[in-house]
Amino acid sequence: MDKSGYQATILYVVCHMGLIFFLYPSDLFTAMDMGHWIGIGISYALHTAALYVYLKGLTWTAQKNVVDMFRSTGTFFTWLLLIPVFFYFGIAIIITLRAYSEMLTLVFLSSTPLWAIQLLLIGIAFLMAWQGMASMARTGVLLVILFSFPILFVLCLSFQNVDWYYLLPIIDREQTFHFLIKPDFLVSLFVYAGGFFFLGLLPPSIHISLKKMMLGCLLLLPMFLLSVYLPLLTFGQATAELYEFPMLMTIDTVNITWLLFDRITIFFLLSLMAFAMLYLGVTLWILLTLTKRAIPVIPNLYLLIVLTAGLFAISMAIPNWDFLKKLQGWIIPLRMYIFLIVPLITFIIGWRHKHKASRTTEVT
Amino acid sequence: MNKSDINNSHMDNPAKPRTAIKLILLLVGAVPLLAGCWDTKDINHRSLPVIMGISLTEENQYKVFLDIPATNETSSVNIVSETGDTINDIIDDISMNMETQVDLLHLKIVIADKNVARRGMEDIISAFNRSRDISSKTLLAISDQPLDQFFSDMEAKSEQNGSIIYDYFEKNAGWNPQLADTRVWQMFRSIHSYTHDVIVPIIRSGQSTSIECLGAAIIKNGRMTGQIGTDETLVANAFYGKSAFGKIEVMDSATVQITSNRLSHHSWLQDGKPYLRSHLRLKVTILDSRGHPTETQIKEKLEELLTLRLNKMFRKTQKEQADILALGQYFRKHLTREQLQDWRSGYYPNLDFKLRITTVVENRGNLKHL
Repeated sequence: MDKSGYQATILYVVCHMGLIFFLYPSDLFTAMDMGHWIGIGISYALHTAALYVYLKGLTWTAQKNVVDMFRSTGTFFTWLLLIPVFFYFGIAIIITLRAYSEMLTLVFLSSTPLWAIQLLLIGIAFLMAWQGMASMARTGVLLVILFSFPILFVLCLSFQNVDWYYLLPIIDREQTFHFLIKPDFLVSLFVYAGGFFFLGLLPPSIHISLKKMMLGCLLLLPMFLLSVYLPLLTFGQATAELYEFPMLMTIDTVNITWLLFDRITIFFLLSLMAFAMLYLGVTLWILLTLTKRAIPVIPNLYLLIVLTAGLFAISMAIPNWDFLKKLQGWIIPLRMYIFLIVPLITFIIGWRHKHKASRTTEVT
Repeated sequence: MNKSDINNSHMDNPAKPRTAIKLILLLVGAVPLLAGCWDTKDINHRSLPVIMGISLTEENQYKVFLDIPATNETSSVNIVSETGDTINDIIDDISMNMETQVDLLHLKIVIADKNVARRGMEDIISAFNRSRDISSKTLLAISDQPLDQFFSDMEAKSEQNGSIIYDYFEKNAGWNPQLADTRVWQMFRSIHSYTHDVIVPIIRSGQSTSIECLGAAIIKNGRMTGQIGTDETLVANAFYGKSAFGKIEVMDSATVQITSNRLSHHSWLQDGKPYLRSHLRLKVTILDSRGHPTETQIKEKLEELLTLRLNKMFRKTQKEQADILALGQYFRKHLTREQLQDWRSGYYPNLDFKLRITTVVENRGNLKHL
């Protein structure tokens, strides 16, 4: 039982941390070759605005979740509005599952087959989603306690090989805004898009405090910047854009003779994998909640088993890394919908609700 | 607690004892998964080479040497070699012919033959970076003598310990600031970067010590183009900020030790010609002196000597268009990205670079006077 709003904030921060450091830097390096902070700044501003609008809309209709709110527009519209959400999160799980297991085989489980890692990841996500949101929120708190220190430690040490001159020029004379419509940039927005929808589905036992959420959001800004700027300052754009996982390569270059361990990448990777598993769990839980509302007759557990099995099968069916990249490109419209339009609709419905409520009080 | 709270808590955590037992059983069942092992090979079925040597045969094939610390009593290192077309192909061959699996996880040093370095190492370095098990922190060195001879000397000398070469380069063991310190990732960066080039130490087996350093190779885009001496390497290391505890002999008057260094730069562009003025502040302590020179004399001579060495090295690299001091970095704010792309060919050869050196004598050791 959490009345202060910490759990929701921690869950939000943890889900994003699990996403930021892996696929995001490489997408951004492909999309832009100078002035990376402008790209990060624009996407971050959009994220903050979307988050604020979404939460504001939710607070105006207290005690209700997004599904109930959308329902007030009529059944047809509810289906129309929520089916893209369902598809987006389904594909998000498939992509995360596949990409993260490829990454794990690349970094340290080189002889483990992909399906085993994927099965493990989705298995844990299944357990989490089965236990429900309250237990996931508590898990989030536990994960933060366990893994913040290794992550911060590694992030501090990764400054070992930076060359600050790579920061220059701050604004290039030939800086343009063409990157905004590049597919790679739009793909990179996935870290900003999919991590806050679950806030609208939280059970009433977990409170959301707008102020704490905004503080959590502020905490993410240095993480977005570090994930891109650590590789950039170590390798420079020309080299960094060649790596599939620039952040992991950066940490691989750190050489500490006094530390017992040769590679600190493992600490970083495993800590963030724990966060990513929570993200998978939360996303699976979103799918479960949405399906449950659509087809209430089937018991939760069976629904969850069907969902998990289906997602696992689809992610197994992806032939290779290139296809995964293409898949990320195809869902750009869905991503923009989740990122910008859903918060806006929530805001409008919330505003109308508030308006109606204040009018009824006036009448009485 | 009100009624809705109770309802919710009931909905969120079904705390029935039977479910708890089931859960515990499930968690216990997951324990074997925790090791994350798959097709594991025990350590005694693996060979973990520490050093890899790469040379070219007369038929333009690669010949790879692996120095594997042995686990048995009789000898301390095993040296195996094989020829082939690609490095991975050769490693595979060696692995096939050995009773254990060759695993490059703990590879610490790659020694390339001079011919390989001259021909270019782009493919090798890319393969190392691509590979899943070779660390990007692996050190690079270039051998001045044929690798067959180098490794047989190594085998003869390393009776007590198989990790001599590794210690030679390690920062917390035998490293000196006269030695260049370049890793695989830095070489990879130099191949693709517009401004960074690297120097790689040149070694051979020594007379009384096991290894002798002859200076460093200038590597441009992964190809060796020239060579500098150990003294010049020290100046380069001072420029990288890695010179602490380097000793410099000032002609006929004293030997000093660098205790710390600081650099500042001022760069500008005039009519397309780059200008750079740098200021190196060194703090030194005096180790020994010949005769009774004054402190000012030592300082003057030291500054003169260092400037001379740096200018010599700088002119050499300018001729070869290899920016080993990464001076192009200081022009990032003056040049656009496209202009920076031709930094090495278009701007670096015309660079007007002056280094001012100021030294501060920190102390004179245990003695009061010179």
